[in-house]
Amino acid sequence: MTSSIQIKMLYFAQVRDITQIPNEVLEIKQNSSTKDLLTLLYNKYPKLKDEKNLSISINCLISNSDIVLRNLDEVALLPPISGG
Amino acid sequence: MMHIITSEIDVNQILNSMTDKNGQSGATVVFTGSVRNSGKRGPVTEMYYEAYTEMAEKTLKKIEDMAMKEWGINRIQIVHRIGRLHLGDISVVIAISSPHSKEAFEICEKILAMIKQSVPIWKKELLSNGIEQWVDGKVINANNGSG
Repeated sequence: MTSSIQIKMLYFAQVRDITQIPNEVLEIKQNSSTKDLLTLLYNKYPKLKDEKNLSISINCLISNSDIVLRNLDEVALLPPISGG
Repeated sequence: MMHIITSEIDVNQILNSMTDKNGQSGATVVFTGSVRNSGKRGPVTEMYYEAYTEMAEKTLKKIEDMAMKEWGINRIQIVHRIGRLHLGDISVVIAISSPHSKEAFEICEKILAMIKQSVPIWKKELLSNGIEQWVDGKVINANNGSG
């Protein structure tokens, strides 16, 4: 049996408009990567595919590569920013 | 002081925090950004800001630390307000004190650019026709992201 890990997801701005919730805990297979997580999210929220230029942060660090997630990582989907 | 707040920004308090009794700073520059009444999509009546607060705090602290270390300024404070703001309300303040005015102006401008490129904050325009629309932004820059 493949064990799973828990990922704390955070959604902001346009992304939250799509998910309709600001955060949730997702269970994914151990050794899943950010790419696997995105596949899961696109299946759960198909409209996310329309959002271009999303960035991903893991524990407040921007992640550009497809890295393996760890249990209880905090992952955020970040639309293009517009502060100031 | 926190970098991300939900209440009115006290500009005078920030200005006072720039006071340098040792006289090492000959210049203090304070930039305030405020809600404008027009956007790309027409007249704006209000602006709504939100942040990934934990990451924004870390990123702004990193910018402040870098500015102190790399650019030789004496004091710096950055505060961004989030929530629903009215026209003219101040959304962001950047205060810098340094030995000379030229560098203070230049660094203040650089820091504003860094905020716009790396701090996870989003704003939504509330237009006069009742439509609410997120403002087109910039893809967050990993090189400036929190670390």
